[in-house]
Amino acid sequence: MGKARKTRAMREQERRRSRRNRMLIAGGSAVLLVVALVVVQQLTSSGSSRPDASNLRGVADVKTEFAGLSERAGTIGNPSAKVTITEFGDLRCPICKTFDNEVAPQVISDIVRPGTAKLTYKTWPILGPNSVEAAKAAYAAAQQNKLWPYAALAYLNQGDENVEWFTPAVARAIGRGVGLDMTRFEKDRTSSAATKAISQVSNEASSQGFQGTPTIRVAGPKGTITVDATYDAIANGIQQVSGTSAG
Amino acid sequence: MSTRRLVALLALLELGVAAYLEIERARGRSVACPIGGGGCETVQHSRYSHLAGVPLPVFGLLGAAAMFVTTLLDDPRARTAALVLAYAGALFSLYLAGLQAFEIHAYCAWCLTSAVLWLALAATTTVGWLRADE
Repeated sequence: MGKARKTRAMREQERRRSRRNRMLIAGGSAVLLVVALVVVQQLTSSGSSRPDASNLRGVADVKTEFAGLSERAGTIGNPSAKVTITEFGDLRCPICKTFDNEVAPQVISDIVRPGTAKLTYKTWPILGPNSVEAAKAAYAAAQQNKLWPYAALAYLNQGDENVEWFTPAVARAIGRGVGLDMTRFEKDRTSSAATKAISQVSNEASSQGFQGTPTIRVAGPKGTITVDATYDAIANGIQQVSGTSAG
Repeated sequence: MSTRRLVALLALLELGVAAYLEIERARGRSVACPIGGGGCETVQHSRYSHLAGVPLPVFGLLGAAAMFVTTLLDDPRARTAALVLAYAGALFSLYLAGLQAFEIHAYCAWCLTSAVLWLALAATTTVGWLRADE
């Protein structure tokens, strides 16, 4: 009897040990799996193809760029300036981003701030439905005379062209970033007036035969011309339509 | 209720939460955030909302579906798989809760609900595992 009890006890001990081992293996596998998932997520989230709505880039830079500039109906600069530069842009278009990041700041500081010309932005969504969403948000920002800062912050945080990154959350985050009245923004963004304003710009652009975004138009007393999206081309264009140099 | 049934129920609840999050995300909408203000939206659109390009709720959906399937099988390997899945789900949920607290600085009630469900799944699966050997 004593031997049988001893054998049973040994079997029980063996079973417990085996159970503990299998549990350790299961736990260890789970830990390894999670570590792998975390590593992959950390690696892939850094070079994200979409903006981080919880942490937008460049909020302070945009504030500085537009400080002291008054905006009216999507136009910044001296309202009585004889020359108007108009950009037809799509917030999701990468070349527009380059223009906004690299050319627009110099145009604003050297041409718009001294009062040589005023600068207008017209949202022309050409990259599908998500661009229309972005254009609606731009329209809503324009209603609060903050279209330029809104567009600048959107460009700074632009996601991949092939990704529908302009989500309502991103739209709102940018709006908060430039200090919009968010209740009004939401109302305007989803209004039929927004849709109407966008189709007006689209009609204008297609009737003029524009090929894509950004299209830069320079208008003055001597006519209206389309110029390349570079600082020099814009400065030359101003000279052509007004007869004066932009300096 | 047997632990297996409880696991099945918890897996179905998690399936529901993950499906809701994924459907709303796919439709471009923000989930209704019962508590925590606009936290759900912030978390859902943060740069941590995807893993290798795949939205996180998809992982929740797949994990919960796999958990549910293990409860239908009477096989020791299915029990081991359930244990690995449940522990991985619970650990990963804790990591995501940590991201909400320390990186995103916003909480998503649905994601936290999912974390609680995975912790409960881990606990229940462990109990089931211990009992099955008795």
